Amino acid sequence: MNMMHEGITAAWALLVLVFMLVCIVRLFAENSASGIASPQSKSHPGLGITACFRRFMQSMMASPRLLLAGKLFCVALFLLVIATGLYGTPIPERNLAPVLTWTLWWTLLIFSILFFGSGWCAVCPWDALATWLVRWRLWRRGSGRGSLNLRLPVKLRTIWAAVIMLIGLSWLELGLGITLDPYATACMALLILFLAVAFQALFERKAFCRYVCPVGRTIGFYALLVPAELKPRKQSVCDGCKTLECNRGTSDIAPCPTSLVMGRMSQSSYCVSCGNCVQSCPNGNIEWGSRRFAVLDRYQLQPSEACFMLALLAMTSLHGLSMTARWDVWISAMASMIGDSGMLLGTFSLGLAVSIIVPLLLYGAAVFLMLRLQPTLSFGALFSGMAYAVLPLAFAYHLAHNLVHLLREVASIRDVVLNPFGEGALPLSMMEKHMRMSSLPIPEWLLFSLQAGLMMFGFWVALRILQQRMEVLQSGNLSRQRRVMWPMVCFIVIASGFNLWLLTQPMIMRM
Amino acid sequence: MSVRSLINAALLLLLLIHASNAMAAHFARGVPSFGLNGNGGGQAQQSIISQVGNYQILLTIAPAFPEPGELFELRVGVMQMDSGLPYKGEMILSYRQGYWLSSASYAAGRQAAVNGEVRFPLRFSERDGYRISLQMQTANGQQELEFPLAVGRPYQSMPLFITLVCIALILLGVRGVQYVRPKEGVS
Repeated sequence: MNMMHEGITAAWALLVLVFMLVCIVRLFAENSASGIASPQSKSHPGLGITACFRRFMQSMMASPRLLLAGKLFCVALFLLVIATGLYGTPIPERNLAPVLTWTLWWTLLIFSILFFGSGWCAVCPWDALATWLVRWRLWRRGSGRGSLNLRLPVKLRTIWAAVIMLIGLSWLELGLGITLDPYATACMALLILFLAVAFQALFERKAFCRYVCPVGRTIGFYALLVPAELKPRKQSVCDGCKTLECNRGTSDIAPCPTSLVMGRMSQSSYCVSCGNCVQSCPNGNIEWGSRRFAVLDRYQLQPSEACFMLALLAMTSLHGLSMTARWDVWISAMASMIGDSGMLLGTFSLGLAVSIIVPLLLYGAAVFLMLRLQPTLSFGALFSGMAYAVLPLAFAYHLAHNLVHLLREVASIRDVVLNPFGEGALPLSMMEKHMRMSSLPIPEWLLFSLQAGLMMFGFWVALRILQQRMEVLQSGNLSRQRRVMWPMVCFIVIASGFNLWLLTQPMIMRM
Repeated sequence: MSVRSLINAALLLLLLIHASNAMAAHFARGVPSFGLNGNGGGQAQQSIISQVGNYQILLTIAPAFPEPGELFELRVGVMQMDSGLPYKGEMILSYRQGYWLSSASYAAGRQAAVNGEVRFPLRFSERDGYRISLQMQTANGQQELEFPLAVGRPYQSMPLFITLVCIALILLGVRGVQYVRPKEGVS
């Protein structure tokens, strides 16, 4: 028997809908351009981080020893996950591997972006182990003899591999159910470790982090919405710099792993917060600072990057959908129709394909309609350019969905910390399941209000980014801009409305 | 399409949504879940919910983790999904040893379902992975369901071993190429 979490109430959903309506009316009633695309604008309308988090990240980035301590801690946990996954009990709720990986890490990771941007990448155990194994150094610059340092072929310098990995990971997670299998969880961790080592041993710098890792790309793109990043203190110092230590490194410090040049960075989603630039800059000009909203407007996304953002939206919604009672009914009915049996993997794969194709078609239709209204723009430029507006929708729903997992399921961590291998542990009794269900650490109304608030915020940021993108792509006539952006506003409303509906649905408890 | 037909379609959709909401669900079909056996004084049991054609199947293995030489029970409950009626017919159980590349199939029993349920007592003497196959005759012909079962916990270190070997091969290969490279440069 499975336990169900209640979804947000109709009243909260209605409030979000009213807010969305007000935002749309305001968007089309404004008499002047927003000005948010201009470099002079002060700040990003994303979530603020406190000076405390900024100071913490700055000291982490500047100190190789602190970074190493963080890496060692994460690597120790990673090795414990592999050990418990392979040798611990197969009962998922009693084994540290699935609880730590899927309930705690996978959930907290998305929240960490709010406060630390791409900070997770700085202590990522896969990358740390791969670097140590290939470079044979714990923190200083290695000899480079452990890697062939091949250049990745130009055609492969896209993130299509990351798109495939993201969809594949969702298939493994929701279709094959590896979140409920400690052994499979450990196997997946080992597979990713092998890929990280292989890429680092064959290719220069960190091709795996930049082009393949779905976790890194997810963090990188979500981090664009958060007003925190590594940036120059004074742009003029970077403009006058000829040596580019931030990119090339020094005799002690390794070069930027994703080939970024701090003073010329137009898009920071590939920054893995390794701190090399902070440590190598001779002028001490790199800091963990607040981001300007205008960072978004200088970079034209590649098709693979736009598709990754759309895949993020589709996959986050699929996560929510597959945890509703209705999904099981649909999958079951579809399986009966096509004669699928057993684990219904064929049917699930079909459902997954539909959940990707539908938003892609809707988005494509919105872009097509925009093109009809403004024929001077190209389909490719609009398709890639507008994808930024999708990102806040995925991020907001991801946070709202994960909030339920975090608050309702995280109580299970206490038991597995005390007995990580689950030695002699029995499955949860009905009493324990009920206890976990009712042990919400905050009042339910507060949880619902936070979820509703996140949905409102995501919708608002999406509209602001859409407005900004329109100003970048089509400067000038305001009324024409508004007319052209209508189809994309409709897409944003549909996607937000669907995600809001998902939040109102009862959600199945993971374990 | 008229406004009235649109409203009717919306109402029908709402009705369907409401009807489907009342039904229970499971996270991933065919994935084992674990619970306490109500009949066995707190003993762990393993359950797998699956589907074959129009039939929903509930497999229960008690105790949950059978050891080599230990007698365990495989309980199979089958009912029609649309009507909820229990399956009336015979079920044939067979097994193959090993998850991979194993073709020899052995008969394990044949029983007529009582109230849609059969119970097979089983015992495997070797620690290994097994593939259990269940066959049943339905109106749409013969249906078969196959699922894995671990007796003992085989091959626990295998993924770790394979990963370490692959990593070692890659690192050694790279070192080998690097060793050759400067010689080529000198000559």
